[in-house]
Amino acid sequence: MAFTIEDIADGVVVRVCDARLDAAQAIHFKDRLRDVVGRNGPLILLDLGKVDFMDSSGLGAILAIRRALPRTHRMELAALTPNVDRVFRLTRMDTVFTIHETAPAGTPRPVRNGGTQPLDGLA
Amino acid sequence: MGRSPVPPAGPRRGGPVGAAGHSGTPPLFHRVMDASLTEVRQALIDLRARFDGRVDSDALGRLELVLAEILNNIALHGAGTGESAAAARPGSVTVHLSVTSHGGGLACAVIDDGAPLPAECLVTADRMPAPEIAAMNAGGFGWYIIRDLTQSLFYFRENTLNVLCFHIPGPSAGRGGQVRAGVG
Repeated sequence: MAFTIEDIADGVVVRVCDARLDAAQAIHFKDRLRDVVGRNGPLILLDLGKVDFMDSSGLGAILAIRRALPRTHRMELAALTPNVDRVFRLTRMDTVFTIHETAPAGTPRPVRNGGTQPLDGLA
Repeated sequence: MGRSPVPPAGPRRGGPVGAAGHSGTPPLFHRVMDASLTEVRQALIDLRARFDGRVDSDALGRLELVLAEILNNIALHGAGTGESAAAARPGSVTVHLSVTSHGGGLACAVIDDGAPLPAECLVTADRMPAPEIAAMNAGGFGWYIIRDLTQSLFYFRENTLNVLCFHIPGPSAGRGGQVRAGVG
């Protein structure tokens, strides 16, 4: 499970680089995203534009992170592909997120950023 | 448990059945696999490769989602009750998956030799909790998705086997997949 992180005005864009956000990846995804959330914010904008398949385990991972957000933080979603959009609509989870058509471009993080960012830019 | 339901045919029957050079033949997919999350993932990737461009892409997306929910459920719970049981006996459950395009949709059968499917999976309330509550639960969506996207879903237990069959409608008839029995 790979992410790239870009800084935007009020937080970060987290771009998910894998094509499948499924049960085989869900725990790994959740652990890594939790780590990102802990060190960034307040806005966590999750760019799912490269994800062309997600199942209920992937959705559950996103929801678990949302549930555990610090009070100061918020999570929004962007660039849902048809198969991902379907899962959000079927479960009505499209109603609990702000969902953007596209993700804004941010400022890419350097791979080394204070020496405390093992995740950033990790492939 | 130890008995295998069908002779253990080479688990990787990945070879195209009715594929190469038979563009007029309805595509088929058959796979025998261990019930593990990684085997499920690979089966779904191969399934997509087989059907892509040959069936309606929206129907294929719905099929892939439904199968992911069913097969992951077997991988996680098929070895018995409780996660410890599944962890203790990895790969102890074998799944046979068959898919064929049929009547504008896709007909599927999933057979496994794991523990019986709890009855409540198929008969739970049709309504999800309110979205915000469901979001806080962060789970429980799988069977809801399965029931929502399938038609003619039926299950039976035959000796040591679970047999689950269903239909994914094509692009025109019955889209939306809501199980509104008897309506219209």
